[in-house]
Amino acid sequence: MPYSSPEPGPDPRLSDRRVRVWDLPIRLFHWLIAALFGFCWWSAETEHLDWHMLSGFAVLALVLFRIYWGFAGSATARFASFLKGPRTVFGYARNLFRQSESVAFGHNPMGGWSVIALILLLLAQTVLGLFAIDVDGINAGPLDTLVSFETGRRFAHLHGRVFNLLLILTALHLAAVAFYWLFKRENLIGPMITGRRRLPSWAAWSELYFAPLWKAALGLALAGLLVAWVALGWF
Amino acid sequence: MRFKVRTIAILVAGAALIVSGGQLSAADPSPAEIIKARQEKLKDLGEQMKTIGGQAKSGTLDRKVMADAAAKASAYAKDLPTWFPKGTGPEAGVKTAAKPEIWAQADDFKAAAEKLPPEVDMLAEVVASGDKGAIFTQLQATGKACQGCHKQFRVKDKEE
Repeated sequence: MPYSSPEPGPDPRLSDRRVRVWDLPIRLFHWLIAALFGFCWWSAETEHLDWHMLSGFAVLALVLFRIYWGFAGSATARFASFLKGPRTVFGYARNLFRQSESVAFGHNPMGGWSVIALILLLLAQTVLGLFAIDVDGINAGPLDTLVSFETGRRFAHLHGRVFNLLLILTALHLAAVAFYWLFKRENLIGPMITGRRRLPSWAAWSELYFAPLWKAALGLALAGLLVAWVALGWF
Repeated sequence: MRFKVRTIAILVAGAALIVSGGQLSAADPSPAEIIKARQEKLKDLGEQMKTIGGQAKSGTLDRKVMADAAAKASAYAKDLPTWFPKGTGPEAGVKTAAKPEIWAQADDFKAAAEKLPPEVDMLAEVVASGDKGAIFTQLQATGKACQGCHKQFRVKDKEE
């Protein structure tokens, strides 16, 4: 049960118990995506299209892995554990501006949907890139051969638009992290690095499920093979 | 019979001339039409590049397909400087990415445009060799010539 509603009790900040919430694959995924997102942006702006494509393939492989991990991974990685219905989401939103520490072990009910939006946009963005072609008809994604030049240009334009959406969502993501830090006095960055967060003393706690790492390695290898298959034209 | 047809043709042509008030320019394409035709040709030029790139990428390397594409691209490249008559810039009132600098700095534009045909001709030679690596290299060199003009004289697409 990764999420439990806050109940009145002693000041949670007095508690020293630290519990494990994020597994290694999730943390690596998060920081690699953050770095690659920046690199993809930079390489597109500076027209290093070969690097841009390589980093895009890496993002696609990581996103495919993340989708797999959302079904086969640890408790806090699973979509079923953090995607909540509207009642829970609105209930959480109503209490958002109360300065009480939230007890979401993993993504909170609002953040969960933001994660899904980011994953789907990254998936859309990288797939669009596979078909995109530049204005000169020279540099193109590996699947451009399946469409005409004009369609490839449309994909390129959509690739640009989805990027703008990604920028907006990324800004929102950073704003939320800052909001939790400054207003709710809750550090979300630390747990994403160490994998552990402080447990309020009043919170009910049962150990979360952590998937074995070989499962992650298997998923990543499959995702990597699939992307290499597309990228290198092995079809 | 043949004589009659010719007479009618001359009469019709004469009548058309009188109706148009002697202004043959009425039959000339409008700036909007020139811009549209230019865009179609540039798109088709892109299509030829894509065709050659696709052949090299897939490893099919169909020399006939590549040679046809290169020949078409070569003809376009040589013709390209004539696609920008005065009055076919943004002032034409239709959507065009052509910058006013094409006409304001006509010499620079001409110099930039003249860099394309040699690269495309080299591309035609390279595709005949069927050397995949050389084709990719020459495609990039050709792309540089495209960009040489596009950077200075073409409005960047909003979403790029």
